[in-house]
Amino acid sequence: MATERQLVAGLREGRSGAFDAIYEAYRPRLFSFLARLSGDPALAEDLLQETFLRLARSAPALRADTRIGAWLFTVARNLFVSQRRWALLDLGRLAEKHLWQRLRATPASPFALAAASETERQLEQAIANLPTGYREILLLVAIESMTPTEAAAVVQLEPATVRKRLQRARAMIERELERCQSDDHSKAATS
Amino acid sequence: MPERRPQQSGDELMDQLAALPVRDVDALRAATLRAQGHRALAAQSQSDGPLAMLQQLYRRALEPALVAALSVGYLGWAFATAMSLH
Repeated sequence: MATERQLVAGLREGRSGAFDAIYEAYRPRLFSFLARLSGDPALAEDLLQETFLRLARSAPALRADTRIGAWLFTVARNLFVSQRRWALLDLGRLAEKHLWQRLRATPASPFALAAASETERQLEQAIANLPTGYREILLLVAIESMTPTEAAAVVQLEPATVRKRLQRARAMIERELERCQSDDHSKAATS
Repeated sequence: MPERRPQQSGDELMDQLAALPVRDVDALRAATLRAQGHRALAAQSQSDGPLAMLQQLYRRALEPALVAALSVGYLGWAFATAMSLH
């Protein structure tokens, strides 16, 4: 199995085998990250496509010691932020037409419907309800197993800020799960 | 190649989050994206080949020099012709 350095070297030389190895290793992870981050699988697919196209176009310029995972997640996250900025401009226009309220409903998790268990569904929904700045950090640290320092490099924040946001995100998730469980108990009691 | 490694941290919530399933695009879409990546990689590699370097050299250095020389030549000829008429 090729090491990360060998794959980066292969990519710099334009070898499709190196691209394929990276694509297979990171495609599902990046897609899951982007879908959970955006709440929209179709948008996640578009951003995934752009991320890998950028990897291919930037291949000759990659440094030999590039950490591919961090590089891909940084590009994917930046593409999402940039897309969101444009979307917010559009929302600004919609607000002028009094359509804003209809768009402020609680976002649905893209994966909640496909969840295999109730706990999984509640977790997916709790992640979807987090503010974006907290959600991205929770996804990188808790799901992608990055250290707060690695996640800080991806989101371009100080590691201390990332740790703080992670704690708050955790607390929000716990509150959301408790609320779901108490709702379930009250439903069971009334039925 | 580092892979996602859900580790048991002893923290129940973090373990549950780490165990959430990884989803993927459908096989057809995945194949399309891969093919696009290959095309982009090939195009990038070609743009670094010797022919591409010659084309760049022509576009950046030879073509402007050629255009400048032709312009100066034409202006010189036009000036000389005008002077000969008077």
